[in-house]
Amino acid sequence: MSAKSLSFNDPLPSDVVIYADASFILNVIAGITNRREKFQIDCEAFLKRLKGEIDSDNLYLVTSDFAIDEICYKIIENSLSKNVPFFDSSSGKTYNTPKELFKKKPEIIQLFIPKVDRFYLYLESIPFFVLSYPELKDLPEPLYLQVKRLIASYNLYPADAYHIAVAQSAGINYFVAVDSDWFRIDDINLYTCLPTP
Amino acid sequence: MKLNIVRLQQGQDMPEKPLHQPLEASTGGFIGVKQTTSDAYPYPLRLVKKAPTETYGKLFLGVEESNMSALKKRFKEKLKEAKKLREKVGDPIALGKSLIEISEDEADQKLSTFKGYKYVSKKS
Repeated sequence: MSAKSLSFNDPLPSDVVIYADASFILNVIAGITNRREKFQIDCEAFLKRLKGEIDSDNLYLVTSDFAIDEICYKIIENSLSKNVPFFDSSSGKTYNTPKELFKKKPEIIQLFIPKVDRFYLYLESIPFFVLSYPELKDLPEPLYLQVKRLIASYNLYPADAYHIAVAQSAGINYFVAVDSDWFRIDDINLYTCLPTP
Repeated sequence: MKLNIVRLQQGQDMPEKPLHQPLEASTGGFIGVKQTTSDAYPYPLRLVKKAPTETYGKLFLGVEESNMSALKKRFKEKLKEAKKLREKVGDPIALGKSLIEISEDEADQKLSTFKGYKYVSKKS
């Protein structure tokens, strides 16, 4: 068995919660990250459909702390990359890599806070409800053990396993992602613009 | 809500008969929970029968229905706030697109004056 693959043109379910993976959100916020994600147009069109259903109270859209972590990291990393080489006139040194720039001048993060702010504004105005790990109380199986099981069962990266574990712990079984690894996960409903393998 | 609750031993497949036992693993082994019909319990109560290294039954329990209802209720509250926010920021999807140029310009402008550092762009 594998994921039940649904295209972005397939009918949307009614009164269900859909979990948006970071891969999807990174495509729809490509403008904010200054990235031109490959599937930006498809994802934007699908988000528009989702938003229409959300506004009519037919659908609920969530993501998680883990996605926020991943996306904020990408925003900052991408901003650092865009700004190297960086010449520090006070020391006369040039920093050529994002990692070097951040380690030597961590305050440069302040330049990118407006981008993070805009990303949060974007989240709030769609809206995406952000599931927080502390809200997932009384789980029969701790999240980190679920993650280990998912990694081993489906050959996943930990980040993807965390997304699945958080969503399923909240009772969610509809997902939107742009990541072919998700096809391997059994018994989930997966909206994606990727061709089914 | 009706659930089939069964106690499993390692390597045992999920039987189809309902057992009325408390939801706790008190004797070792595993407890499996399986939905009785597709719409009786709308959460992923599933039995994972096979893993790469062993065959086992495993509890995979979603949240209580009341928690899901609470999630939907909280989402609706968030949607109300979002609609108010949109009155200020406009359509969020368009907002995402319009940020491309603004963010680049703003970053360049800020970098040029940031604590006396000089920004050397890739283009120069």
